[in-house]
Amino acid sequence: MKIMDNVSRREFLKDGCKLASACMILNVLPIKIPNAFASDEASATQAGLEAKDGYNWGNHYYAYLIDTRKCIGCGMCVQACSRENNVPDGFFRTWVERYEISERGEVFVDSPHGGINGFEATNPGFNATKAFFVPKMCNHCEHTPCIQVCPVGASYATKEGMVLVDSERCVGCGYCVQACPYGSRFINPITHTADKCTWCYHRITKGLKPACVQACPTGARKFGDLKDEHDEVRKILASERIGILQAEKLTKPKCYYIGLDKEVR
Amino acid sequence: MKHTKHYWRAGFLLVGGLIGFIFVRHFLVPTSFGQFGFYRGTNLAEQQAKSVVHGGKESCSTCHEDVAKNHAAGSHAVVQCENCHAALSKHINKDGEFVELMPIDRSPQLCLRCHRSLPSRPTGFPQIETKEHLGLDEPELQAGACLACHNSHRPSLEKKKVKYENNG
Ligand code: HEC
Ligand code: HEC
Ligand code: HEC
Ligand code: HEC
Repeated sequence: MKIMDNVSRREFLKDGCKLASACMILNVLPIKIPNAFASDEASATQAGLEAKDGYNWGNHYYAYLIDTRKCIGCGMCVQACSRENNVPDGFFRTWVERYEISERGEVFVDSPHGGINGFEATNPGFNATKAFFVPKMCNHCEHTPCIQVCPVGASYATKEGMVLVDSERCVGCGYCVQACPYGSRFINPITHTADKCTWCYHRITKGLKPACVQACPTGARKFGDLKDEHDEVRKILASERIGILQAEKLTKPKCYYIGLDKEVR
Repeated sequence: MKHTKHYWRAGFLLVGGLIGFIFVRHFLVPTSFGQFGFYRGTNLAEQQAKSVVHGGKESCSTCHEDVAKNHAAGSHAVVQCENCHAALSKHINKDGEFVELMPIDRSPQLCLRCHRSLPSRPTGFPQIETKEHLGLDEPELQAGACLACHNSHRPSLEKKKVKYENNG
């Protein structure tokens, strides 16, 4: 086509329509455009995620189970987490909440220093008829809002279903901290980047339990792999009545709870 | 043909802009970005490479066999050594070399953290009220108050008695 000096509006619109419909047809055609963001096994081996110690991230899908009926509120999990991950003082990747509920429906919730030093007797005047502890942490949600809001791709989900933060990418904008309905994230005062529970990714990829699970003396915290047929957590999830936190948010959390109360959120 | 010059100019501008964009992008986006998804692929390996701090009770038994055996036989077998002491990496490094002495906490607060009677604990769990147990309020207790009668590694007194009988 030669370059024309004057194109009438009519011709311009006609050509434009032709071009647009051509584009639409091209789009429908089954042409595979190489996708840079597709994960493939070959590159997984390259990154050392496979083969190295026989660890293959495609063979795992993790879940966490918390039996609140067994929790004694000793806070050893919080202490172990803090030591294992070098969490700065006053910030918590996991914490324990204490709920005390009276007959009249008054609710008292506290978590002194995240429960890192355990719990003292409190509320002498408060006549609790129902009381329990609820350990909390990142739920590693399947449909998580924290990844959606990250502008730089610092928060991401791995193939094992974990949500991790790349502290080198993170610019510390704090959108994810606000997006998380569970309050699991914080801005680390030392690195100034978003920080949260990783289910001890450095431990589980070596075949160990997360530090909090190991520290729990009563078995209130359990960590499992849903792709393992003989896994304890998988069996419990299949046979017991399980609750999740804030189900109405539709984030599909992967921390499952036994013995939740309606007051817990 | 009086407009060709303009087309060339626009073309150059576009191509130049594109080259500039690719050039800048090359330096701003890490190479492994997009390897597995919308994130830096090498971060996975970095996260995995962090060193393990807690060894679990099995890691102590190689050097502290007697304590480990005693501990495993009693009701505290479920309590990790590192809960009451400190993380392994503080005491022994990765290569098994001695770093510093493990701290020992003899305060009653350590025991009470788990055994203080609280309404929010499960009822089946052994809990005490220090006033009932020792006739003293918590702040009045001295360090080692619980250890006078209980062995921290194997606290049940009945078991201790059996052990003495066997010895005697
Ligand atoms: C590589 C061997 C080794 C391992 C593993 C090891 N220790 Fe030790 N531990 C030592 C040595 C050596 C001493 C010093 C003994 C001494 O000086 O009398 C010691 C001393 C101690 C002490 C006494 C500190 C004191 O003030 O007397 C405690 C408590 C202790 N270790 C706890 C642990 C715990 C808990 C673990 C497991 C997490 C552990 N150790 C693992 C070698 C080890
Ligand atoms: C319930 C808390 C608790 C646990 C669990 C625990 N310890 Fe101790 N440990 C203590 C206390 C308290 C002392 C000081 C005892 C004393 O002075 O009578 C101590 C003392 C020690 C000592 C030095 C004195 C001795 O008895 O030889 C060693 C070594 C030791 N612990 C190792 C371990 C190891 C290894 C484990 C795990 C197998 C372990 N501890 C588990 C609380 C604990
Ligand atoms: C991390 C929490 C924890 C700490 C700290 C702890 N204990 Fe225990 N203790 C337990 C657990 C768990 C049991 C087992 C309870 C059971 O069998 O149901 C137990 C059992 C006991 C028992 C036996 C109770 C029974 O009926 O058999 C005694 C006594 C005891 N602990 C005393 C102590 C003393 C003394 C200390 C301080 C040196 C201490 N505990 C520190 C968690 C702890
Ligand atoms: C004077 C000795 C003595 C001292 C000191 C002592 N206890 Fe005991 N404790 C006992 C005896 C005896 C029993 C067993 C009695 C029983 O079964 O009720 C016992 C039982 C326990 C039990 C089990 C209770 C249950 O319901 O099964 C716990 C937990 C306990 N003690 C914790 C502690 C703690 C924590 C301290 C420190 C604040 C402490 N004890 C100090 C003598 C002592």
